[in-house]
Amino acid sequence: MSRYDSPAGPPDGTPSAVLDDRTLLERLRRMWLRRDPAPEGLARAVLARLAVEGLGEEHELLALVDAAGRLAGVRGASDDRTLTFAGSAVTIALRVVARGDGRVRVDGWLSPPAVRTVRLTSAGGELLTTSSPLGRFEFGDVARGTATCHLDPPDLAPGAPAGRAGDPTPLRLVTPPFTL
Amino acid sequence: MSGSDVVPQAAKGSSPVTVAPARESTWDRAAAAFVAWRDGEPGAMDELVTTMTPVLWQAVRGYGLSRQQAEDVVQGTWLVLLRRWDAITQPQAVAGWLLTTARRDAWRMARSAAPTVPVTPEVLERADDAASPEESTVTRDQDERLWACVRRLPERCQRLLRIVAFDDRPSYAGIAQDLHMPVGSIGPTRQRCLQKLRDVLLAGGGLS
Repeated sequence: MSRYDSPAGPPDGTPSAVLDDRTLLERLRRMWLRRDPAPEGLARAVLARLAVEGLGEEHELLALVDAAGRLAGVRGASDDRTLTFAGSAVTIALRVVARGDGRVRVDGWLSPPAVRTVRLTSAGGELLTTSSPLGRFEFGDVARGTATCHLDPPDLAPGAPAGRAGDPTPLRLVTPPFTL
Repeated sequence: MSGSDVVPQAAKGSSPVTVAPARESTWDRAAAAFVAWRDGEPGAMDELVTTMTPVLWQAVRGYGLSRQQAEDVVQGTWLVLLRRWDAITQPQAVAGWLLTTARRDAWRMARSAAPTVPVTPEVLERADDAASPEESTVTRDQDERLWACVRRLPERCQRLLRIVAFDDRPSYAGIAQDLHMPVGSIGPTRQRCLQKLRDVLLAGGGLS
């Protein structure tokens, strides 16, 4: 311990500019956080990767193939838009509509149509619904922010192992994180 | 939650010398999130990742890796956790485990990638431009002076201080292994480095 390492600060007679160990380290910590912060999207990228890696080989990460209404320079009266995600055998379209109260409504279509448990996870928590036999599903009231959409077979609890013998189609689908 | 929640920022308008608020909270939050994740609670991994990723970034960047290399190491650290999490018997150890894993990989990458890429002022100044506008000019000026002083320290000091500044419960044995220093010399070196920094600061008029 140094002679300055006292919680009460520098001893009498020491210039006030001398900081104790703890304070100095805290200042260094703050300085590095401000001068060299982690990239904005790093935690999100990690989560996207973990979502796929952690859930087994039966899991398929969908790709964002279209984000109509979000193109550079296109600005309508609202920020309503449609996100389209595609996998090897399915397409999911999400129509995001502003509700006027700062939240959004999300309507989804799964093609080809199938009954699936649909989970929308975001900072606000997890919302759960089931798609209709026509592949339609909706979340009427969703907080804005970053979200991920999972589609699981209806008879599987979230997190339970998936996979059926002889069925080559990935049973669990997950979108990359997107912004509502 | 944003990454900036991880570490308390200086209170606006208050004295720039802010005594560290409960630093333990990062580790406790990580431990709680880890337990929740093991219990299958939704969103728990999000909490763990958002809490620890900025801390891992700092640890890794202390090794002089480029931003891209640092991102790779941080990503890899989380993948290792996914494979080996059941080896972590004490939830309180999860933050330390992540940091040790990240530091080891960072050191390995820094050694294999020749020449190492220093943390260039260009990168840092760019990061500085992104600082939020509400941050007080005083804080920024203080940071600039502190940074100028840190850069005058030997590289080993810079690295060691960056590790101990972000590691709430540093394992000297782990740091010794990473920095290739005898474990008994970490404590004294830490003190010498802090003292050198104080001397440089004082010579420049100190921090208010």
